[in-house]
Amino acid sequence: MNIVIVGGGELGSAVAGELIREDHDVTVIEKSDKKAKFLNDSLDALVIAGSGTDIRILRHANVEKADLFLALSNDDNVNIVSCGLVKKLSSATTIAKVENVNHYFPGPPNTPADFGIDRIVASKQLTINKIVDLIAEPDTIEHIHFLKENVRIFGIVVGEDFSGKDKKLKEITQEDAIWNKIRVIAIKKGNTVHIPGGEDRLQSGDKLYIIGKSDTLHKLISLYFASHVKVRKVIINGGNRIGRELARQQEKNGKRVTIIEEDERECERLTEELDNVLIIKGSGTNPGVLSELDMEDAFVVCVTPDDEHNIISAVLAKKHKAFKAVCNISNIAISSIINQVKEIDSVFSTESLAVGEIMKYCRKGDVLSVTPVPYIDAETVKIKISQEIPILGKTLNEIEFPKGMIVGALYRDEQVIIPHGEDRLLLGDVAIIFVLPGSKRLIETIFA
Amino acid sequence: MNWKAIFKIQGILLIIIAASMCLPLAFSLYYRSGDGMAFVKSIAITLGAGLLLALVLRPVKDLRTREGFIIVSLGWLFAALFGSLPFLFSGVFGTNFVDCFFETMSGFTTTGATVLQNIEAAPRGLLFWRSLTHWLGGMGIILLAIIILPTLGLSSTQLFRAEVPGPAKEKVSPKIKNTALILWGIYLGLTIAETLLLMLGGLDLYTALCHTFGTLATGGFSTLNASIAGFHSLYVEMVILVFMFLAGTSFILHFSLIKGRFSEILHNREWRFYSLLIFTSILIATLSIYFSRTEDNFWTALRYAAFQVVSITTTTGYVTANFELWPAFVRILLIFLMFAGGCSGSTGGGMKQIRLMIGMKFIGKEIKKATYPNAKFTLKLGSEKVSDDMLKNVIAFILLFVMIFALGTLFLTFRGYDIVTAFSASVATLSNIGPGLSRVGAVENYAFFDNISKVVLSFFMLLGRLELYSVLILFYYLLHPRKIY
Repeated sequence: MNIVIVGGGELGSAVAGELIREDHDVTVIEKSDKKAKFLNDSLDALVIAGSGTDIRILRHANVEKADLFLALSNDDNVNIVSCGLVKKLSSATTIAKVENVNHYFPGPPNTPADFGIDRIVASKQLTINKIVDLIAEPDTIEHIHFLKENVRIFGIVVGEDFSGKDKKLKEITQEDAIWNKIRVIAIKKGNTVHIPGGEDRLQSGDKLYIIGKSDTLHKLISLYFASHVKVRKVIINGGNRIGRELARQQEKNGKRVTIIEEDERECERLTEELDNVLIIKGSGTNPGVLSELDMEDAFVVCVTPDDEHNIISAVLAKKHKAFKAVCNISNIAISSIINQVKEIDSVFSTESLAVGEIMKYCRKGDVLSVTPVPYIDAETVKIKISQEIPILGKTLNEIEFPKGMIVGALYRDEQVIIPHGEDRLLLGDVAIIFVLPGSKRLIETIFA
Repeated sequence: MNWKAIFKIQGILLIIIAASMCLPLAFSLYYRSGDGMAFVKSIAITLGAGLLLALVLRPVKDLRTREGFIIVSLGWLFAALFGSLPFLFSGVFGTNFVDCFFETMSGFTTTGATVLQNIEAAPRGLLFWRSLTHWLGGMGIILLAIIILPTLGLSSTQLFRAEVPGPAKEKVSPKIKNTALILWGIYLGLTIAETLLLMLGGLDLYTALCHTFGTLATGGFSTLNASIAGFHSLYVEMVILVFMFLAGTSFILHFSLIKGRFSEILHNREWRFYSLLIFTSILIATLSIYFSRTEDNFWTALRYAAFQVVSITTTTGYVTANFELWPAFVRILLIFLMFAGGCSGSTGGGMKQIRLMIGMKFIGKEIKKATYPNAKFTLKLGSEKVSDDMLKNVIAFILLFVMIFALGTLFLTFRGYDIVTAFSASVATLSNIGPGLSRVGAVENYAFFDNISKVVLSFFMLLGRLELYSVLILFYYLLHPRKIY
């Protein structure tokens, strides 16, 4: 595909890199000369220095021939306007990153389509949704759902008190049949991730990624992994857009919400906008401020724009006996390092969530969507099997899957199947396939 | 340094070289010229070394900027080393490896300076290989490798920058691989066109191909002792003149031409400058030759002057007249044109027209600044602003070019050669032209130089082709291995 991207920031360059890896032709329009030069040296893409709202620059980028136009700059206005300009020039599908959706499109008669936008990606809203999921399932560290939330992937940590500790997966399954209805698709021990077999032992500190029907998974968690702590308190570090919206949402859900914000003016604004939310002026990295708060059993969310601040305040919160501490990181490259810090229960990044969301629209053929599983760098790929391919009709045992690939779930006749070795792939199935980084390219060879 | 990746790419390059040696082998067998075994041996050695490097090494990391420069300059050294094997095995230079190396380097860098004293006596397969090295080096062997590299999972973004000439590297397609494909495609198309046109002029396929390679790569190797003058054909001269002019033009512009974007060509400042420079130089040279009574007929004067000006400006170095006999003024004019060279993104050498333009505009700006101390000026080419980074880069390049030229002259006079020979050989190799003045003049060759001078001049050709920095970076790291972090 021919893809034009406006904005070469964290998000734009990450998306461009991902698209180039998939062999698309990418053109990036970047406002800053310096950044454009850097991108030109690091990406196998055409990089044009200029404004995304300049029609000559857009023509130079050959938008007339583009199949997909992504407006991913940090400025909502630029993104909306450039989509409008492009829609007049070409038939490309346009995707705009718009953070303040309600501001621009509060509802009819103003729709994104009037501005030439086919789809909107609100990256901050994605982050908020992610945090809401994590608070709703406090015993999980990762939470991905498919097929109208019927199928989920949960990431969980094996605790000291796990009843099946140090047992083989095979033995645990024999003891309780519920393990047969779900599938453990990955285990992260230390820094290595692999797809487990029956002989693998579960040890405390391991991170498990399991797929299954939502109700089964919830049952499993309440049986084995529940900490039986009810989250009543949510403490949010950073009163920016994400923090504010999250606070509003959680307060409605009946949680007691506290926001810690350093900036005097921001604090004032927060007090005006939010009711029933405690606003503390100060820094989340200041132990004095933290000891003032009652952190015990609180769910701490760190979403300031400063990565270092988030990391330190999350670790400090855990020292003050917080129940869970999660943080937002904008530097995607360091997120895997932070993932090793055991005080931090979950790390996510607004950028990589947005990358995943955008990449969903950049698939071709039978791939319906791809959802990244961050921090183990894996992906779940949803594929519709619509052609006669060699593996059809074979049982999963017979198919020689590469080491890092596993079929997690099948969707057939509106039924979800968590497949076992004896199940077969049939025409018309929708398969959810989990792949580790080394095997990503192999999907095409097996399913095409 | 990611040595594994660096040498794996060298391996791939050697495989390409070995494959291209099959073509002269075919001609050698066809003409029974007796150099077939030399090619079989060379192919075996080159292919063996290439396969060894390409298959054994399994790099894990991606390339970084500095490795790009190292790969490119090392690649050209490797190409010249292995490319000189056929010369060595066929024994045209006896056992003097330096001569073989000089001839091959002169071929790959599209210089066209030869140490062969009697060209017509050399076996035909070998002469074809000599011209083919021009063709491979003209568009760039690395650029050819870039087409294959992505399929092997190696990134090539870093390589493009180091090989393609000119200060601003434009891409015609988002992907480097496709850009390389398009550029090589245009090159191939022009090659076919010129070969056919030359064959229409009565040349056989072999001779037509050899001269097409020499023209489009702006090289200058001929299969005749008298170069193009040996054809005694106005038609052949005209065809070669036109294609030399095209080869000295940016290939990005050729792409615009194919796409039908004529206005882009007319608005391209560099192209306009290049055409104007050639046109006025032809006019001045013709008049000077005519009025100094060197040629009695105005049209003959125009014919020789036009060919020589284009040949020198595009850094080809083909000869139709012994310009050694022309007035001193015209000879020095030609030397000046040697410095200018072709357009950026062309196969021509020299400093490149665009650098000359930017340099002159910069001087103009400095003069204006001196008269209006408080005024602000922006350096522009047409409507495009020349960034400060680029300006500094260009000025440093011109300075470095002149410095290296001066050092070369100094070195050659130190070895005992006369001044005119020394400075013209220095610029003729650095700008990848070939013929110079005096003892390296139009009808002379480089055979009389001693071995050390030949090695230095080969090095000059490489410096010129890769535009100084890549080679200097390689040698810097070779001389200061402790500076590799």
